[in-house]
Amino acid sequence: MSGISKKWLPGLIVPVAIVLASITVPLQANAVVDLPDKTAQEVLLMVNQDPNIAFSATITKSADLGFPALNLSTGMTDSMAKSAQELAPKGMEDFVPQAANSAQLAAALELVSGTQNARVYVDGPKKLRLQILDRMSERDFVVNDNKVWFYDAGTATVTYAELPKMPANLANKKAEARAIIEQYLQLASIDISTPAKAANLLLSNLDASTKVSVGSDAKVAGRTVYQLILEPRAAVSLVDSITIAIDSETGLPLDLTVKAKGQKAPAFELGFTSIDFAKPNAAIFDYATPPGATVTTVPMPTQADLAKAEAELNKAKIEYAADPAKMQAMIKAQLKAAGVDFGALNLNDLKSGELPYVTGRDWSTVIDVPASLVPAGILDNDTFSNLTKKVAGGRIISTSLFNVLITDDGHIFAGAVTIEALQASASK
Amino acid sequence: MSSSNNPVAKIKRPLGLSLLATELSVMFRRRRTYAMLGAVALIPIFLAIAVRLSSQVLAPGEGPPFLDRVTQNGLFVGFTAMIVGIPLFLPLTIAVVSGDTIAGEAGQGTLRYLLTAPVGRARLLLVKFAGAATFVFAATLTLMISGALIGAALFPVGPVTLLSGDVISVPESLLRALLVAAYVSISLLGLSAVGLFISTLTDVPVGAMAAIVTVSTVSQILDILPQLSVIHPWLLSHNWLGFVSLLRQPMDLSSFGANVLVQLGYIAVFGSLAYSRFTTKDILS
Repeated sequence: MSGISKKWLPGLIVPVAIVLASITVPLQANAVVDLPDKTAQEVLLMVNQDPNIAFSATITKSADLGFPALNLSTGMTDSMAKSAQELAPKGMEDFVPQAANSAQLAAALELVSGTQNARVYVDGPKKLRLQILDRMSERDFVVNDNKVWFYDAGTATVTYAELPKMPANLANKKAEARAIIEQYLQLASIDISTPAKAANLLLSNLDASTKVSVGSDAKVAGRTVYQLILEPRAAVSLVDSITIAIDSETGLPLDLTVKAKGQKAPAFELGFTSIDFAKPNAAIFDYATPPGATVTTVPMPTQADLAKAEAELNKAKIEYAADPAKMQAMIKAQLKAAGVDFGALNLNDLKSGELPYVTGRDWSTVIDVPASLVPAGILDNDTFSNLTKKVAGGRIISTSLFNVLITDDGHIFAGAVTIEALQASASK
Repeated sequence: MSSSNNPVAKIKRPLGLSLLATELSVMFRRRRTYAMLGAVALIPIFLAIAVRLSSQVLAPGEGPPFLDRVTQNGLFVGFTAMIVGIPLFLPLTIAVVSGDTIAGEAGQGTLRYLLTAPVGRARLLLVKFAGAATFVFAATLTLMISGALIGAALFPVGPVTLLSGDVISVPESLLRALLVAAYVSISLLGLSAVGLFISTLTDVPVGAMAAIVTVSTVSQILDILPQLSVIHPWLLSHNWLGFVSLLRQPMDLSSFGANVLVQLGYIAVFGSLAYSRFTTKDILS
């Protein structure tokens, strides 16, 4: 009997050992980190300022906004959804997922839901490659000096643009602009002559709305980091805290985590999962259009175009100063010729409540979009009613980080605040 | 420790290499093995012929990944066939081979005779696993080679565009095809170990095969449920399609490493369970 029981030992020990190892190894990676203590101001000051930084890294984005489940398929094209709807039995058309056809909608949904991985290669300010690693596909964004490519493997399309070379007198212009800014700052008696003073100013301005503190030292992507924690003071804010992890050595921000009130898992996190500060291979930024891909070249103004535009602008400025009424009439005529007719529109004539209106400030900001600007029919849309639920005074789209209230009279109120706060600003 | 009360254990045993040679020669002489390798080879062939005969031009992104590229470059046939074969066809053949390892011998009544040879049960188990593993590599290689041949026969062959939009030469693409085959083979070793264990539980090989296909299917279903994302990295099938990262530039070998770790874990757990079960089992047939 003892022989039998002994022979079962490996069958017990190995699984247990593997489970233990798989739990303890990741824990060891997160072993306690102890860095020299720093204040929030000191941490702000060490944030990377070096534009020539080079690294290769992997990035993960994950969002958990508690978004209502959507009957949308980003993998579906418009024509697929249409033919599926035609094929569906009568009365069942509604069960066919709607294609997230508009690129903006797809992009917005992508941002607020799920997990995504990317790789990024950076070599100074003029060389960048970002690879969004889709499950069976990839999207690449490459910048090499003044050349910019966007490649989508899913559709085999390349979008290419050649940025105009910076004008030679750019340095002069920068100095000019800086002098103007410094003049204004002096007038407002704001002193940001040193980085330390600028950091101080930022922190003291933030303090009224936000509690800024330095959290415990941690590890991100195998690097030791300081954690700068921002906590909104507004009680109505849905945001619990925003944590920014800053590499203790290079000052590169490595992770951004947004936590929502009443939710344990981060609502949004964007951070490095691994990073290597070696210079990436130059071949990574040498991009050539792959054969068979459709190329769209985005027209960019040349340096000559820019110079011409600047000269015309200067000329127009002088003429405008000489005779404003004549110039206004001319601009209106030109716009009308281009198919834009403002008629007798005068911004001063607009009744209040016809433009989006912002109430509250900082974390309790609420945007009020008047009914006249809301597309007609949106309230009768099926997708819309699936997305929203009924509350007093209207319907609401509720997520852990933002709420949108559509009132019965058609106004839209939106903000990173509680439903009650939205209802309160709606009833005002 | 297992042999302390077994006098036979004191005699120096052969390494089991001759046993492995016999095992392999028996397996690769079976008509069933050829039928399965042939079926695997047919996946890319059907795929390529269907694309060739069809007048419909696929828009980029339509159909399984890479299918729209096949008409421009025959070398994509192997990659597409691998994606098509991974969820069901390959696990099915692995289930047949690994489910048959012990249960097949027991079912035929040959297990008794096999164990009269001076090889321990542990060694027999190792030989059986090595045999199943050899079949896994043979199956993925067959698929890749058949894909490359039919692709070259029916479509133009040239430099391959990777997912990142970078272009690699034909020799490098063949190297990557081999790497993909190796990746997929390693991906299926865990399932072979599970199969070996299930095969020690029963004398009915068909039952073991069905159970192994079930394990593979359940693992894949669990992997698509977002509510279970916590356990996803631990699932047998989680990295199965991860070979896609070998088709990016620069090539990302980290998924290769993660896959090896997970599969080694499954081999260790189910290998030791199979050992415990098999060495304590009463062999009646």
